[in-house]
Order: sequence, then C-alpha cells, then structure tokens
Amino acid sequence: MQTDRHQPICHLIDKSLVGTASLEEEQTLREHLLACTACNEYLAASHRAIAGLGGFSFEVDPGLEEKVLASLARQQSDSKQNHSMPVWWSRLAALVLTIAGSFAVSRLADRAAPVLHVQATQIQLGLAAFWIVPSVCFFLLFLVLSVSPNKKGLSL
Amino acid sequence: MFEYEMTLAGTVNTDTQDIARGLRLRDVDFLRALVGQYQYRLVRYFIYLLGKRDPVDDLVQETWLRVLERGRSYDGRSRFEPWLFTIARNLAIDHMRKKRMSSIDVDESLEQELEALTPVSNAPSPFEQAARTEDAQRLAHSLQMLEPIYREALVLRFQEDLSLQEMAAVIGASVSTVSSRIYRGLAALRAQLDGGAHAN
Repeated sequence: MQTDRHQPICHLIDKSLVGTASLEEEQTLREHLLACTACNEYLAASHRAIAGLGGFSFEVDPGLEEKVLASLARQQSDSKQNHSMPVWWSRLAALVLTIAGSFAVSRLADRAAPVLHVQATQIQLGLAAFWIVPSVCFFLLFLVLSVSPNKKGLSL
Repeated sequence: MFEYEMTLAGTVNTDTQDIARGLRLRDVDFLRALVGQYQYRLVRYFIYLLGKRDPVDDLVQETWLRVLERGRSYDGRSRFEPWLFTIARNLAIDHMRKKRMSSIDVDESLEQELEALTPVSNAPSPFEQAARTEDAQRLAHSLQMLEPIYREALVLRFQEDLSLQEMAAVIGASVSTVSSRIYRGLAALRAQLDGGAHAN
C-alpha cells in the first residue's frame, strides 16, 4: 500500500473523505477503485475508522443540565440587579432634587427675591418650572421604568 | 451518571434566525431547550479536546454562561454550532492556560497550548469508558494518545459534521491546516484498526 502507485490514490481517498476532492479527482478515484483491491481496503479501513468514532457514548451528569440552568438564572438575576442599580440611584436623585426644590421654594424664595430684585412669586414659579416639575417627572419616569415587567427575561 | 438521551432534552428549532432571536430575547423555554439539545455535544467536544473528564462539567457551565452573556453577538447568519464551539474552545484554552500559568511562555500560541496537552493519568481514559462498540474500544487508546488538535479535527468533522470552512473559523487556522489535521487523525485511527498496515 505504501508504493508510489497507491500513495496518490490514498491521498485522494483522504481528500474525498474530508470533502476537498474535486470532481475530477473523485472520478479518478472511482475509476481506480474499480480495479484496486488494496485501495478499496484502505477506503474500507477509513470508513471503519470514521464509523468507529460513532461508537462512543459519553456519560453526562444528570444534574449538569439543572446546574447549568441554575447558573444561567443566577447570572440573569445578577445582570438584572446590576442593570436596575442606576435606575434606583436616578430615582433617589430625582426624589432628593424634588425635596430640595420644594424646600427652596418654601424657604429661600422670600429671602432671595429682594437680593435678585424680583418678586418672590417669580422665583417660586421659576423653581417650580425648571426644578420641581422636571424632578417630579424624572422621578415618575424612573418609577415606571423600574416596575415595568421584562416578560422575556430568564427566570429559570 | 447516565447515558444522555437527546430525545429527552426537548427540541429546538435549529433555524439560525430563531436561535439568534431566542438568544437575544433570552427566552426561557428556548434557552432550556437549547441547553438540552447541545449539552451532550458540548461534553463530547470538551472530552475530545481535553482528553479528560474532570473539568468538562465546569467548562460546559461556563460555556452556557458565555453564550447567555454574548448571545446578542450571534446574528443567525451562519450556523450556531461553529459559534458555540468557538466559545467552548476559547474557554478550554483559558482553562489550560490557567492550569499551566506558571510555565507558560507569554508568547505561546493557543495551538501550542493544545499541542502541549498530554494524557497523564493511568486511569481509564474517557474514551475507554465511553467505548460501546468493538471498534470504538480499539480506537479508544489511539484517541487518547492522539494530540488534542487531531482529536478536535476528527470530532468536528465526523461527529459534528462541520465544514472545513466552519472548522477553520472555530480553530482559527487555515482550511489546509484543518484538512491535514483530519488526515493525520484519520491515519492514526486507521493504523489502530488495521494494525498499521495502511498507516501513512
């Protein structure tokens, strides 16, 4: 089999099995195999080796799948927590700004009005329009965002 | 331990776009079925790659975590298997690298890492334990002694039915390199079955 004559054909057999033989090479191979016992044996041995790979059946720990699913669920949960942290902080910040704005309106407007040469009502309206209302809106927005359900989320 | 039955694992629509969508949405039922469907194949791939059983379960877990983490990067334009095995392979190499950290040259390539992996235990190899046919029993020893890169080529080509291009993508090598690995792997198995008469 290791002769010069058969070696190229064995290589063609390998190429054919691997899937890299051209149509011409396949044709050459077919023609050669019609008349060559040695190369047919080589081909049969190759087929047998490949088929032999199918004779293994590896055992899988029956608990592995549950472990995998549990760790996937854990990761999903961690991911959600990490994801929700900024929302919580943002909501808290919006709440603090709302309270601070309200405090400023109730306590500081009267004192600041003479200094700024405007009426206290103008300061109150300005604070309400540019501070309190946006803060309340952001607070409500973050509240809605944090309670909206993630229907497709992993909860294994 | 039991012999895994894929029929029990549920079925997944293997359409790549469906897989991509399921991964993107992290759909519960889909992921469960996906794990079930590919679990055995991942275990087998790791065993072929590593030649041992010990780290396989952990690596399988890590693989699925990575799949969940990076699921959005799978666009469904190509088959899922190469994408999955690429993740698995990288994790296996990371695992080997960590184990050999003290002696690793920082410039050592991933391929060298795999080539350097040699069987060290006298216990029955995972191949001997898993051999169910006479030929498989005869091949078990050869597989265990074969270098991981050749075992990997054999399992990806003849068990996973990956194309050479897909294998090249997974392995990160050229198609010709992949082909020659399959040739050499086959030659080793043939030699074992045929008493070496036709070995190249």
